[in-house]
Amino acid sequence: MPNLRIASRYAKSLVDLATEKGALENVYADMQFLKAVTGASKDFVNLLRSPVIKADKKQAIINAVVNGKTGEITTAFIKLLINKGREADLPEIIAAFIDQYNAVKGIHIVQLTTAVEVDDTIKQRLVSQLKADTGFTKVELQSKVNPDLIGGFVLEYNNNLIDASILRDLKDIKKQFSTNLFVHNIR
Amino acid sequence: MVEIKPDEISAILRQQLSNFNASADLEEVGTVLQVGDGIARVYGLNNVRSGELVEFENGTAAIALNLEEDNVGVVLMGESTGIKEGDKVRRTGKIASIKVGEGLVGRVINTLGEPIDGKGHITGELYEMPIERKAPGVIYREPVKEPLQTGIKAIDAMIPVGRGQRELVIGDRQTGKTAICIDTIINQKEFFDAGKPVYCIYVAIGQKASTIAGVMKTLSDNGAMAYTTIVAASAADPAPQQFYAPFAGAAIGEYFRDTGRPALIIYDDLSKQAVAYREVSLLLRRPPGREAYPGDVFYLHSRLLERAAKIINNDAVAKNMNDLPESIKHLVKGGGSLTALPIIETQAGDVSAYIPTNVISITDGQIFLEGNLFNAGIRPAINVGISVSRVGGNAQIKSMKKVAGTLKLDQALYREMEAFSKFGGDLDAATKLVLDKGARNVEILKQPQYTPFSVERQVAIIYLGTQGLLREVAVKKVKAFEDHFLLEMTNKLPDVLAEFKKGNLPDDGVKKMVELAKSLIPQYK
Repeated sequence: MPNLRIASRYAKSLVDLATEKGALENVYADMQFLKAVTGASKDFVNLLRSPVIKADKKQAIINAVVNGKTGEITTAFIKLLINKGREADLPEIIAAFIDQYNAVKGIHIVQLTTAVEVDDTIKQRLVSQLKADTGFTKVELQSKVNPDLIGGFVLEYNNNLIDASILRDLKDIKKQFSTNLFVHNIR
Repeated sequence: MVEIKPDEISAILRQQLSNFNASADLEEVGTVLQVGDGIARVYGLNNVRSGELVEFENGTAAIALNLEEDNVGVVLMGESTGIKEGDKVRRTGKIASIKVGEGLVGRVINTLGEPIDGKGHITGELYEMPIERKAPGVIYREPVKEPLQTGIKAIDAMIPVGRGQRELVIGDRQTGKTAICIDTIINQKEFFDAGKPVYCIYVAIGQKASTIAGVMKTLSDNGAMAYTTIVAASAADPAPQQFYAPFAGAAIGEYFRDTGRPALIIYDDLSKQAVAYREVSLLLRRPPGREAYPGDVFYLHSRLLERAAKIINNDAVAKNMNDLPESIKHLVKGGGSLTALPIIETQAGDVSAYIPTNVISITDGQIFLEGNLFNAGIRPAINVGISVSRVGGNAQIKSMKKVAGTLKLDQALYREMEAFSKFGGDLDAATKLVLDKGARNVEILKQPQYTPFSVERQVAIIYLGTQGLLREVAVKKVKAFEDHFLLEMTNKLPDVLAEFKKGNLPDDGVKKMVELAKSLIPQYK
């Protein structure tokens, strides 16, 4: 189970420090870069989690991977993580940092899943409707395509879910029929 | 088989489809972090409340029990197979509840209220009753004053149980705990036949499914299923279902109680329920206490047993009862009762273990069963000395109270002297008298299974016993005499028995009865 408590604590310290030094945007960019790295290479995450590999070796590998592409604060932060033996939690810490960054900036991440690719005008209409309904000012829309939905869309934000997909409707109908109230009467 | 027309089927389908809501609502969701051992950790579900029902994607229900800083611990009410990390969990906004109604009578259901006896769905109007509900407050109660006849001579005479009482049945394995409770249910047939049924609920927790099937067969063979509901959470059901089963049973009992009718609930047994609760608590990482039970295991049982109550016989007051569910508000009547007979199994007679002491202190008395009495052929194997009923005395009918008043003390004295007399030696006349009477009373109080005695017959035979009128009868022939005597009584003096039943002890009736007994005694010397 991911250790969310540790992730949020490290992320908070990083957000606080970056804000204090006025380098929040730079650190955010670094985190996006690290997120891309961890997301792209499963081997890299496995390496971080491996208890067999020594700390100095991990440090060397991270240095080689990152190769001076990150700022001063981020480099120091990674060093701290390795010193504390928490490098295994890096992916969760990155996610927690991005969440906290969004919270600071008032950005709401909205995940839109559709069965087929939709064009920007529809997305814009969705976003403006959502803004009107919820009072969000900044919305970052992430869209995904999942053909299993058959039709309709699924909108997800802040642990809220609007499921208007055909898949969901079919599931609900299936459930309705699975509790067959009438078999008894027929028999 | 009933003929089905095609349009009937499509009508059914249309009805089912019309219930279907195609519009999408805003739902609050969380994500599964970890699942296993019947519990799941969920991230998200920000506004979920403790005790709320949540639902997984595959339709499995769960109850949120632990609200922590960064996750929610939920216990699954179904199988954990098919749930994986990352699955969505939805809030339902409902508190865990079951659907209760008249249709439940005669059925076997599980903790969720679903029928498991293969007799189809529950018919009739059903009302939503919360599984966890606060017990009625002081002003909605009244003291226990009506008897709940168990049909067992030893209990009705010496440890009487009243309607609304909580009487613990405690003892080792194989001492007849369940038998006493089943006999009590069977004895309520008399009231069912008279049109004033005492609704019975038998909650089986962590038992073998074959045992539960056996109980059901016994009850239906004796015509007792007509007013009984069985709530079954067998050993194969998930632990949360096992520890919620008594609460589900109590919800059914409360339905009868709050609609002004008497109900009897049997929890068989609470030690297994405590074990199931311990399992869930440990998996949720709650700190263990004595015997590894969690700190709130006392509250688990006290809040359950507190729901047994005698409701005030005043409709206007009863209607304002606290925590009444919305669904039955219009049906509420006063004067109902819920009597609880919890069962606790001890290990090698150890009543000072954690759970037995807890439940002894919560209940209004206990019926203590002993293995060595059972093996000595004294069945029901009730140890009279340490069994008590703290409130039931007020509930005894007058005739029984007069007749059996001294029986308990007599028997306790007899037990003491019996042990003493085993050393041999000469006994004085007074001691001999006590021993003679005691030995015959023990015979009278013996009773085979599934043969409940109506209260008037109990009064008749116990009168003879306590008055020492059986001195002449040989100890071995007491049983035969009793059968003969009671047969003659029902045939020759039915009016006297009727008076006993009303609570009277008329002098001339008693005289006639004693004469009848005396005429029979010579045959059994």
